Amino acid sequence: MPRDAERREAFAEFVAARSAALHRTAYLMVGEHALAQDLLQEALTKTYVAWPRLREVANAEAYTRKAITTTAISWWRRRSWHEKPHEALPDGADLRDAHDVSDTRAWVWAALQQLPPRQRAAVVLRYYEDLTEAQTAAAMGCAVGTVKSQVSTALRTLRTQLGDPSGPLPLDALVVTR
Amino acid sequence: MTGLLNDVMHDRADTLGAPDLDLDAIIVDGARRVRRRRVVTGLGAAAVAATVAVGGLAVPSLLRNVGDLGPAAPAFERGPAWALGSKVHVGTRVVDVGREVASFVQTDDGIVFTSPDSRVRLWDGARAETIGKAEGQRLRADDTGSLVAWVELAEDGHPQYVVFDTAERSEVARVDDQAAGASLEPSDGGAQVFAVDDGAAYWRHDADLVRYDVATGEETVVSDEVGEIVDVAASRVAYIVDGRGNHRWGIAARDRVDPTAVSLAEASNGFLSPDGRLLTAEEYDSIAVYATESRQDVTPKVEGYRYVVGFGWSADDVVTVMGLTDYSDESATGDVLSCDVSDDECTVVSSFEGLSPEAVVLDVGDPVT
Repeated sequence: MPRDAERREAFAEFVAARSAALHRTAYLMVGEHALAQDLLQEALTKTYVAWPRLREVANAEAYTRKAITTTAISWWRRRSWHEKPHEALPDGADLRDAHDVSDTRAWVWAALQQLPPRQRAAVVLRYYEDLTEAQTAAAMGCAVGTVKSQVSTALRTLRTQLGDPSGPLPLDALVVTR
Repeated sequence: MTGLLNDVMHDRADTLGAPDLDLDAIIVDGARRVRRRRVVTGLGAAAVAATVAVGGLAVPSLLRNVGDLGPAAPAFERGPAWALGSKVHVGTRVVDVGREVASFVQTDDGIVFTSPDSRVRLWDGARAETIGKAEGQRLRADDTGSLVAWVELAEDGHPQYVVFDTAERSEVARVDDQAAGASLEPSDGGAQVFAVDDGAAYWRHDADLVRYDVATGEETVVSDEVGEIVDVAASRVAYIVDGRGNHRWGIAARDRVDPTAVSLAEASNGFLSPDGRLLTAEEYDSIAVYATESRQDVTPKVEGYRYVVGFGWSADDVVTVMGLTDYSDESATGDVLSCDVSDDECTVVSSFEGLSPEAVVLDVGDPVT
């Protein structure tokens, strides 16, 4: 089989196998279905370019995940996504006003959407993808210390937005880390 | 891990359906980017005859007035360079070396280039003299000095490493590599010169990557674990790490090669600054510059281009950059720039317009094959 045809076939198999999971990561990064799809399409294009050197599916998935992360952040820098409306917290938001579990989760989701992209990316990679700090740093193209500070700042922001730390949503209820 | 945040993210993500991706568009767009990348990495498909629409050619004046120079000054003034056909643009000047250039490098004595017949020639400002034949048309030279190296095939077909001194105008080393076989593809473990640095050439010998001291003829193993050296400068080695364990694949840069090192740049081509302190690479479709010690990202801001990539250095802090303002499969328009990493200042060195993308050859020593 010609090399280009082999490349296309192997890439198509990778997309079929992993695109749903990568789509979910992209969605958590940007918070919009259509934008997540565009983001994934762009990240997969970059992956196709690098495909001959990735050699293994695990490398390809890590590469695509990094492309999703860095592209999302760069889109934000260029303001193509920055001013899109997110699900905003109402004025005077406080989790203590939430009446049930579904309210609580809606508040957490809205607060997550209001985090700056780097912080949100760090949170998604650490607590959704369950990556280690080193793996998160690799995906974000930054130092481990930067990951720690981004996550710490994000959690502090979430805690502040969602209510008093000593109230119904203390930090250790928000996340339980390994 | 558990926790409310984790649960919320999983709940939201689980509501998503399958993505509606246009796989054909991804592959078509990706293939277009691969072709564009070939413009700047010399990894492309067959070179085609160029339809040139560049500005007027300057009078060749690359040789300095030797009488004005001290004894240590090089006879040839290097600069950011690219070639099209037989015309080589060096800095703001253009010279005609008399034959189509397939690949080229610069030394302190002139331009060393291969033509499509793989013959290696030294252009010294006056004429081009044949000095060898490079299989694969790959050449390697140092940031300063007069050494250039390549691979030749002996009469019985086995590879030989050749080092030529352009100051002496003579071959200074010819080393058999019987074990490497006839393959010249780096990915096949074939014979390959990776770099020239500080009086030494770096190449593959058996399965090892070795440093060959031209003065003494001594060969020392740099690594028997990594597969490819990308560049060497001031004894710092940039090499490919394969992403084993939790590390990411890409280029690492160390004084001692460590196959488990964390990569600096997620790229397969890169260029160390002459002092080895900085590495430029194309990462995620754009230029990246990293400090090799601190790992700090010091990429200069190069604005106004759709595509920007670094492909060499003209000084310790000055990276040579190609910026494309417009490109398609048929033509590319843009500039070659010098960007000072220390103060983020970029200046346009030369410009091109409407060039066939696969006809441009950069002074990285690799052909557009």
